[in-house]
Amino acid sequence: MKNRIFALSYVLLTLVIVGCLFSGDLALTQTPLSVVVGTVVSIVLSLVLATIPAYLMAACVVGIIPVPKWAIAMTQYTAYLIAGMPSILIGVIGFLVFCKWMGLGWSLLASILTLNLLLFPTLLTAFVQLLQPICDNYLDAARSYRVSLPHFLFILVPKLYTRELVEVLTFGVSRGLGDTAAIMLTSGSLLNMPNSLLDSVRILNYHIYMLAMEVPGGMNEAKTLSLWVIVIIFGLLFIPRMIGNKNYELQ
Amino acid sequence: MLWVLLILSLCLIAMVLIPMYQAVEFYMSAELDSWFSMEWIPQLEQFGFGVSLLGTMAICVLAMPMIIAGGWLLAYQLVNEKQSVMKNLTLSIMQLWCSLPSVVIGVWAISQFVPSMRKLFDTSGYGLLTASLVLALYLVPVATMLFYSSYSQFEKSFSDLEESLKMNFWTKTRIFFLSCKSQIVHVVNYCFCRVFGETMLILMLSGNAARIPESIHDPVRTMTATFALEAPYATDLHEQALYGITGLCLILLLVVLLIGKLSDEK
Repeated sequence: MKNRIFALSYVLLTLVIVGCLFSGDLALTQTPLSVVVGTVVSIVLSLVLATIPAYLMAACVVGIIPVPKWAIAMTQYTAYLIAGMPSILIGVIGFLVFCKWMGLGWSLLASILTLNLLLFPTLLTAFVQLLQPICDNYLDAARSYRVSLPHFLFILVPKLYTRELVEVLTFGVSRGLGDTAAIMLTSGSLLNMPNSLLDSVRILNYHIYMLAMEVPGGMNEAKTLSLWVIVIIFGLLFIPRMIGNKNYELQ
Repeated sequence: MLWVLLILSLCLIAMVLIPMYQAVEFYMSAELDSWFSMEWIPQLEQFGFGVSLLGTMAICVLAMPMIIAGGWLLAYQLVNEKQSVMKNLTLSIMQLWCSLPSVVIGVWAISQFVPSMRKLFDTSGYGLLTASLVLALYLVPVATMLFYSSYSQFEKSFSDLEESLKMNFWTKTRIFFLSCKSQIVHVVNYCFCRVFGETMLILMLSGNAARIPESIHDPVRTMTATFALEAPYATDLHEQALYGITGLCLILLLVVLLIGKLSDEK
């Protein structure tokens, strides 16, 4: 047991935190639906925008799509540098480029594009790790059967590695949900229901921050929302495990 | 596909350079004495980066050893644990912590941790030590998962040697640090970037006073917190000064990331 004590410490700490967050009255009186709608729309649209380009770039990096080595090196360096940057700096870049230079102002669209910038290198790295063994094991066989690249990338790989792809996507969702600093500089903080992508909206994590720090008596609601965020992220971790692996033979 | 790749990479590089261009505008217009000083008073047009840089470095110096030591110790225990329900549960909890928003940990810390620190040390509870401890708690799982993947590969390669030579804990640790140097540098790099760039926890727990702390219980302000707090209402030279801070952060982080990339390639 003493060898496990440090390893179990975080299990105990998580239980303590959940217990503390449960101690509020669990009511959501100061959280309008616009916060949830804004958060879901921004995460889903940014994931949709980031996934296909990241997947295709990962295919270039591992060699499925042939490109010169210097281009691959440049892409890898750029993705590595942006992936290592803190989200507040991504938020500053998003604020300068999307809000000011492109004239979008504080809006849902600016936050989607900023979140896209944040998710892209993360998804690229995850897809490279997914596609590398596929490239090593299946690419030559696929080429010998004259399987086209689009068929290989968009039909065969998803069929063979559904669970891994879903894992990457849920990782992207949890990364988007977990970020506050990048979006808080670009999405604004209005509580009205957005009518278009150019309207300002308050994102869930920023709303939790405002309730905890700026709104008198908002701490209880901040605790309840935090509890919901923990439950959602825990649920996201289990979705890929519910998808079983099926073995398909190349035909 | 090549052109798409090139255009995307160039767009990303351009986006990174835009805050640097804004920062250069500030450095050209403001006086040298002003931005090297230790006073950040925007009303008097004094934009000394020293205070926020010191705050950032103080948080890094306090939090980093705890994160690296804690992460390595937990990873060591997890790797040496046999496959069981408890191990899977612990790994799942670690993955959960890696994905959690820092705001959630901040809410818990304000409710429970800060009152405990207040009672223990007879201070306000918000300060350098509180922010560093909670930041370390938040980032230890990240370091653990990174060390776990390096340590698992190390165990696969060296388990036979360990059995045949009957190595003790210290010998095994020394061999791990010697053989996985580049991976350890990568972990330290990544954790440093996370600590350096952490904004929400610092905003919620550090007290946000733009002055030099005289003890570890005094409030501090970091560079990222300065930008997050003042950007919504800053104008003119004040706004440019904030971009100057961002440019400095970018340069420091790019140097750290490039060091990590070069050590990876060695």
